[in-house]
Amino acid sequence: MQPFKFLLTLFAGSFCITACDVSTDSGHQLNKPSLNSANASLLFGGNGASLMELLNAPQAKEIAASFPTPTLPAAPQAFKPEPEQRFEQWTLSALTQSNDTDEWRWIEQQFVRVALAAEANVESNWAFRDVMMHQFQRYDFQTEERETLQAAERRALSLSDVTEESVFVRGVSAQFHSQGCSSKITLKQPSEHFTWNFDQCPQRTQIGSTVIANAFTQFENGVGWVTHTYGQLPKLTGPVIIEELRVVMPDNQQLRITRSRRRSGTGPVTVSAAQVDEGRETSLRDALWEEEAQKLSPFPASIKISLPTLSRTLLVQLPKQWTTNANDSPLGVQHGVLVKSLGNDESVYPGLIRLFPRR
Amino acid sequence: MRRLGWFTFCVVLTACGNNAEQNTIDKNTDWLSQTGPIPAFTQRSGDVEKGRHALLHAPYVNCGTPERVFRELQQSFGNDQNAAIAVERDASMDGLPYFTNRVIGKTGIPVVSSNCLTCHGTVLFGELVIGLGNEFADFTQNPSVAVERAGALVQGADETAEWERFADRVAAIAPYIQLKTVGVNSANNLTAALIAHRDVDTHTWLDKPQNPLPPTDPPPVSVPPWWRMSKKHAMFNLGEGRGDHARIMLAASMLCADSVSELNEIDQYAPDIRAYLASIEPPQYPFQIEKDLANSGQDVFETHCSACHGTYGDTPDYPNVVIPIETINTDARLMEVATGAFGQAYAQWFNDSWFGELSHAAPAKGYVAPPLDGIWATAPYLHNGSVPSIGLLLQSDQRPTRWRHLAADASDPESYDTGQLGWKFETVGQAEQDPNDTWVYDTTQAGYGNGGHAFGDQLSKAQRRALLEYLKTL
Repeated sequence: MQPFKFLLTLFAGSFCITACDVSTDSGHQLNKPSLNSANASLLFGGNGASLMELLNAPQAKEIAASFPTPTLPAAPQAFKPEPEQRFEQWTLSALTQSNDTDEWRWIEQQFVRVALAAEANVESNWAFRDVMMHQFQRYDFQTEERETLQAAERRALSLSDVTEESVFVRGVSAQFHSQGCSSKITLKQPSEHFTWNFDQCPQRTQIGSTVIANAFTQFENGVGWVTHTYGQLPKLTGPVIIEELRVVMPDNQQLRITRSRRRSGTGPVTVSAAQVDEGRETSLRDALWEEEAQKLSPFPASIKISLPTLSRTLLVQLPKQWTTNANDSPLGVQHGVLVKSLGNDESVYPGLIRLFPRR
Repeated sequence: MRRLGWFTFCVVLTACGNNAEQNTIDKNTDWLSQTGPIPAFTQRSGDVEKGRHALLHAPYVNCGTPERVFRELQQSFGNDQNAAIAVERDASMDGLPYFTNRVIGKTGIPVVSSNCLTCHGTVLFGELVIGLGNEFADFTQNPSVAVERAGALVQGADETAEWERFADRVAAIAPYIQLKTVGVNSANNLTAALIAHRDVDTHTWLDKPQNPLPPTDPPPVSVPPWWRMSKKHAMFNLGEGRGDHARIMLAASMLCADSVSELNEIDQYAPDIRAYLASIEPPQYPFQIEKDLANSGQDVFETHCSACHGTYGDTPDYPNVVIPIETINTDARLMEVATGAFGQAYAQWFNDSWFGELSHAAPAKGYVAPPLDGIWATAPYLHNGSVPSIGLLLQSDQRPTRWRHLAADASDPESYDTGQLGWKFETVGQAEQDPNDTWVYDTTQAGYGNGGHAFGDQLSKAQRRALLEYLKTL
């Protein structure tokens, strides 16, 4: 695969929480996450324990044990944060060969940061208030295992952030040590540390307002590369913003919740839900949010999802203000969401919808 | 005894039914009509061909989705097969669904608006039948959802202004027009919700309603076919549309027409549209008919049905009567809403407004016995579409409490039950009913009842079979 095409593939894939129809050159489909990754998807944005458990599972340990940590020294610049950019993404890739079996392993580790411009002049509970979203995603091409960890919140809550030295999402971080064109990037996870060392200046490509910088390095038993993509989010000029949440259920079906609201803060807020099973979509009910009553209408604020392996009621809570910390919620799991425009190619905004499993 | 009493009643109605034709509206007329005969009213004449053209092109609904956005959505989601059916129109309408018109909005940009065929057109066995009520249209969803989402594609000041005008109005009426079941229509509530937002004198749009709003649980109606227009003295199920029908039809323009002068512009060609509607002939029954059986069925019909539903053939006659609710005994909710306090306020607004210059809203406490031309094609039956077939209409104790069409539209002849005259359906048990399945017609819901019109119960099986065969010929 050409690195550039691969980069674009990842770029597209980064806008899906869990299960996008992303194809690689070889036609490899990433749209069927395994049970493990589905569980991770379902639990992402919680207290992080589930993801940690997943990373600490025997399978993850095996990866760490069998594949050597890249150690070549190097240090290019440009992998630092770009605070003026609203969208930023780092992809750290390793293709290494097992010392024991000669098997090749290809793992992607990706951080995404999306910063939302505050809508200070909008007097609406639906206005964005400087929300930022971070996502960490790990994908193993061989096993098709995907783990995702997200946080969508205001800044300075210490769950996720970007600093001059690091980007982190909950318990996973990438630390940057740069000097001139050389840089060392260390990915820290509870069960393993990977270090990429680059000694060349990164190659930059600009597509529209988006800058892509990438560099390549060699390990003793493999190769590694990093891409750093950043830019401004295209501005939505329309009067309505569409927000979409997809949650992958344990049986690989998706629950999709779509919300629309007017940028002006006036007019109806609509919410609808659909169940997606291998491309087949079953619409559930549509509803309007009644601001005064703080409830969905005409049906109660409850959407019951019955799946072969799961039956639960998900309350679609549309909070008066954006919620803060998952750990603040006594009711259950808080999910960060990716929010995208109807066209899916125009813009991406983060938002937040909380889903509470029935107790 | 029961049948004899009903028959006598109908004879009396028929004898009294042909009053002298009126041509002016009496402003002193009570807002509530009496049951019984409906007086005739001289309709304005119009040009049939011009009327057809206006129906499929004119801006009688002049707000909607900006055309660019609409076509972009079409590209993304496509038309369904029925919506894409070809209809002879100007090139500017190419590719648009038959139930939409491309019109110029107030900012000067083209918008796509719904036309009358949204409710009054059906693709029947692969062909568009203008005037046949769409008994598969889905009004169970909140229309604001789709309109609001289209707003995400809107660009620029003109598109935004057009979209906002349309979306704001849809949002205002949306809570009052959502139904429980696919196939039925909430036109009465739609009109009432629009009236609530219109100034009675100037007809300007009022963001805050100044008239009573209808109930949020609209009484369902089955859309009557347009080919009955030429026979009917009054429009609608309760006979409430008295006077000039062309003027009454312009209630459909109330979503967007913001002044009396705009309404007057539309009124210039409204008589043409009405003339076209009155010229429409019902579709012929496309399956085999047993002629001898149909002939004997005619005898049954003329003995048991004609007093209220008229006679057919070379010298047709239609009595134009409203049957008292105590007699017809079908679901009363539509009548109760229209003749209660809300209905009075609604009728008062109508009669005091521009509409009242030539027409009069005057519901009666009963239901009009409609003409039965093309009755085979208009399933399901009764004013609320609660009975899936004529066969079941004639056997009140066999009507299903909960049922669901087996087809999603009227395109497949195999979906039609030629024995019972109606679309094939399945009964649904109470236990198995999914409350979210809007395709289930639940006759236990308020306004959705399937009782009444039990006049066929006393017919023999052979009489019913013959009657069904005859009804195929109408």
